[in-house]
Amino acid sequence: MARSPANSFIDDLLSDPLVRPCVAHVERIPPLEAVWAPLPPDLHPDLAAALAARGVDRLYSHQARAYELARSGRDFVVVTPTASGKTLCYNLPVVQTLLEEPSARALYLFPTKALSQDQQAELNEVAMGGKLPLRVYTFDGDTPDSLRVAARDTGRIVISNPDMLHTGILPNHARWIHFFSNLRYVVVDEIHSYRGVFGSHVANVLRRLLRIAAFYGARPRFILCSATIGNPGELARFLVGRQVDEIAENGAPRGERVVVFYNPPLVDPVQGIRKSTATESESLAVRLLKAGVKTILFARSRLKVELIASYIAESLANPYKGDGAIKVSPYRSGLLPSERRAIERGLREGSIRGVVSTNALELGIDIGGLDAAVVAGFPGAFASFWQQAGRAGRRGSISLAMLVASSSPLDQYIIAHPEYFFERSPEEARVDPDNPYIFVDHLKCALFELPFAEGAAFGEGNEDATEEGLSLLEEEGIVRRTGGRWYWSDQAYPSANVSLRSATADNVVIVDETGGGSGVIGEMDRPSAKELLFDNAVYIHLGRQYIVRKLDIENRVCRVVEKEVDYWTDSVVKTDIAVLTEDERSYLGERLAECVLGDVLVRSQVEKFKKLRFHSHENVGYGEISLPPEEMQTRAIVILFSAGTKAGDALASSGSEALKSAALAGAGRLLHNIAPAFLMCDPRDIGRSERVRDPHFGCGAIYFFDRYPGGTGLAEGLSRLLAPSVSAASERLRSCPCGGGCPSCIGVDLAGPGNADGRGVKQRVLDLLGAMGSGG
Amino acid sequence: MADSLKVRLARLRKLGMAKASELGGGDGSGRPGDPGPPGPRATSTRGGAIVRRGRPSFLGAWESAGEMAWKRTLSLPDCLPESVDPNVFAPLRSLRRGAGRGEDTGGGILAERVAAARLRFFDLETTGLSGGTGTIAFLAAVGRLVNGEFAITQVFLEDYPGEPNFLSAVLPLLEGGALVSYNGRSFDMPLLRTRCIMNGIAPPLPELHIDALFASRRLWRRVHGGASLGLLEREVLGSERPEDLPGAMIPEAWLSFAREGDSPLMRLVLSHNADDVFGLARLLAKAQAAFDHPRAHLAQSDVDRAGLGRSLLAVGREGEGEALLEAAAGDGDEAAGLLLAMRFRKSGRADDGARVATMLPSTYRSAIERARIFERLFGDLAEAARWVAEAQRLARSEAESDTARARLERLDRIVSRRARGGARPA
Repeated sequence: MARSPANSFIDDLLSDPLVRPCVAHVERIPPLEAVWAPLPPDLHPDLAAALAARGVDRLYSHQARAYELARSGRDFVVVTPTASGKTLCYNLPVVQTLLEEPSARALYLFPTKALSQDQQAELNEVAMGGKLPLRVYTFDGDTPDSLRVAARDTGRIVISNPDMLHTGILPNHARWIHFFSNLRYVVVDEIHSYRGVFGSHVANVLRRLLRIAAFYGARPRFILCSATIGNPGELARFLVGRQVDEIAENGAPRGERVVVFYNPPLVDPVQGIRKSTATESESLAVRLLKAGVKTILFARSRLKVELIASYIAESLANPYKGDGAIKVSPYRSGLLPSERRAIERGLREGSIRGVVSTNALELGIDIGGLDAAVVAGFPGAFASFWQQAGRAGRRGSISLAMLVASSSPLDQYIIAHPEYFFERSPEEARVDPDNPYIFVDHLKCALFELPFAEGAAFGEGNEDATEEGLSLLEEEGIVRRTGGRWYWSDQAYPSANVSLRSATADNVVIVDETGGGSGVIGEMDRPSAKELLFDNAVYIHLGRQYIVRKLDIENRVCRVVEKEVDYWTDSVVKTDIAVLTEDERSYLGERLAECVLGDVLVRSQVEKFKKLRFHSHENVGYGEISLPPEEMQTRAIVILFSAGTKAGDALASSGSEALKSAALAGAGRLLHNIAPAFLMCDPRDIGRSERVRDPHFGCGAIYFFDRYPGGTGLAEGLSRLLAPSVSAASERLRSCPCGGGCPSCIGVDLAGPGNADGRGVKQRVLDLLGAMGSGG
Repeated sequence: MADSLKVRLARLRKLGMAKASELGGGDGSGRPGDPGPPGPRATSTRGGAIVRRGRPSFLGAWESAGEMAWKRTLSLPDCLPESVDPNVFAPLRSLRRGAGRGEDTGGGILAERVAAARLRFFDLETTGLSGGTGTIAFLAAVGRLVNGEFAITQVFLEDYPGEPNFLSAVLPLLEGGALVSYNGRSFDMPLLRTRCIMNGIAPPLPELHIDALFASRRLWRRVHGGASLGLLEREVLGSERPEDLPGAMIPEAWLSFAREGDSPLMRLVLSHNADDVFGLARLLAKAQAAFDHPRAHLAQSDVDRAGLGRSLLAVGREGEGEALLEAAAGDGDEAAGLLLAMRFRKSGRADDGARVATMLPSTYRSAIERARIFERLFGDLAEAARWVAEAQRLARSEAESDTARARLERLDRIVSRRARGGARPA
């Protein structure tokens, strides 16, 4: 068994005197042997021949089980880590049925277009390898008209994505009459990505799909695939609206894996400043690349992806060493589709040896031959980390996954608790079936597709909610009830205004005006555009720097010109909150603090931005921003430091107003960053705001709100997990080596006039958290 | 779970926050041209029961076509040609593929002419522009020859529950002949098909469908700057409608009628629909006349002679087609001239090629073509080279310049080879 360059390099890396002190933990995960099962005896001879042509003469255990379940008419979900042959779990039973029943059809859904185009290539292989008479078509936004007709009329397997199903296929279902009448299987891959708000949307799209299939007399079976999460069965049931079987045992082999936790060294222990994650990740990746190791580096945000890719390109561009031939490419959403596909191709072909990516690549595009994954900053969920780590590793050879901790409290907590990391069960995918906006959006689309009879339900058991929702739409004037049925009564096409992925459907288009031109170089959703593309912001795209000349929100256009500067920009967001409802009130522990769950109206405004120098990240200036605020209604949980509670008492004795304010801010920040360890979310999914004297409640308050309109279950989840979050936060702060606050705990902006003593603030926060937890 | 969803929805209604997807992420900055967020409209629904306050005013003389459906027939003068040649109306690309019919019902060569009595002209009015399943047709007009007159039968849908009756009244009207429409292949027929599927009725299978849009574009778009039925009715047929409403207002007219029970605009919608079918018939007659007597247009520019010429070539009427194209070329139409020149060059018609070449303007493209004519039809390499040099002078881009240079070099090679060996290369 050949050892990839990664192996010897792992030992070199770990024994390097500069690296060794920063290594917080090394975990060696032993390899797994394959568990085999024979090919099913009833396989159509053409299919068996096609498999033989690809060298497949037996199956992994989970593939055999999937075949069994599918053929006996069960809905099921297969839980598989990456590269474990999950494609055959659905291809085999589907193709077998299609060969047996000449008119049967199947629909394959992937989360993104790129994945489905990969799948088309794989399917063509199977179909052509055995010269099977099966027409396979991809049906998405890029499909030309002539192929669309063919796909509808003669496509035996149609590959698409939820967005296309939502706007293109379902509202035109009469053109798909042959397809839907004969639909036998619906394959939904990567269901772990259908969580949160996206998951709620997709669940509703599938509801509409089943409604339409029933109209044509079809009852398709579902085959679902998921990465390793804590609740695949529950997520599957939520998505398809019925019970499904689970295949959790995996029979695929896996090479040895070495996971290394790396904590960038402290450069100022008192201030708690560590070397930047970006620079450390960059230098680790560069070492690996120079040693010939194909490496992927995962960064937390689009901005960081561009920064790190440019740092690496700089390091490698040394003309004397000739390393400039090592091509590294940034990969993130916001790149045009053609750009992303070119990078994927380069990786497959080997012309690109390294990639810097956001979690867009976390989804299972099979990019072969990566040996190492460097993860710059904990990606917010353990399942995400394992997905990213799983990108590296070829069959039979050892692979490396490095987590480079950031200075955030969550990362520092994890680095210090590897047992928590490796022993915990994977997080559960959080789903919220009750976001009323999403329900009504899809009710509109469903009504456009087929009228509703009075008393009908959109989704099992939803008669009352359906009636309520339709009445609401009737008041808007776009729906009418007559003759015992509800009808769509408007000239618009509702699915065009419902985006499955962001709060608003309208993106801002980014136009490069350098030299008088006007080429579109990317796009971004409107709320993010206000925070990242304000006038004079530095925008980085594929390694090139641009300055924003003008953000024209009304026309959804951002004009930029190329310009090299030595800083980047970061906006400062101001948040106002108005309480709309108080749905639940409860106490934390024994009157330790009060909690309120309800709806709030949040107004966010960006007013200024900071200029931060590259590499050092020092602040070199400020700028003004004038943009209208963003408003949204959502769910929130408020922690109240009310009179009579321990937390309230602790706050009252915190000292001056300034100290009280700083203590609340520190506690809030820490909780905000630690809670995602328990919820499966990103800290950026949660918004936060603190008040020493809240105008509505009349006491100290910390608000945590869901950043998606209508809420996605985060506020509810946090209210259930508040106690463990508080104790983890206390522990983090207690064990933090800093003097008076640092990025890894309560932050650095808290010491100021009136409370010049950072140490004092830290102690106050400890007291507050202690009062909120079971400790004194 | 469902309970709490209902509760939350009820609360949203009570708070008046009825705007579902608009509310999520709104920022108070609307888009220019936005109609603005829809306010709650006057609640004038009539609940579950069908409430009808007698026949709507604008349907005075109509007869019932079943519950919630109405029809009438108008008699107009016969405006039709004796017969119609479906081939000249087909999209050019389908003709090139060899299928000579307006509808792809099996291909084959050219279809026969259709007698006037077998033509069924139709047009639908709908509740929207998308062909999706939430768009319905509420008004249909079908015109045909009956007893020497052009009879237009209209069927009107009063409200959604009447759709089966509406369709039952419309479908028989379309049978027994060849359909004629304007953009009906892309819009009206697929929509009608969808409505049938949605109501569990067998969709119509026309033996032939002539969509007059393609030929109308070829004949008139370049002359009048557009090819919408309304525009051509004014410019080609010379008729104005004294009162008409913009097509964009039609869907809302019916939607508010269905909601409120009456509408001042519906009267106009009904006559608009009938006028469209009448206009379509007359336009078809005009187009057929042009195809039947193309030489009448040789000296005029009321039709696009190049378009007419190309149509004729496509159905094998070569002499006429060439004559039209040449007339166009003579008046400065470069594309027509080039098409002809290539044709003559490839079939070795030297005199014709020479004649047409002189009509070509002074452009890079034409200069290249003239060079090729001299080389291919006359074997005059010197002259060919002179024209390539001219092309080089007229080149507007690197690519054109390079191509010209390559051609010159090629000609030089041939010339020197001949000078050396005397024999022409095989």
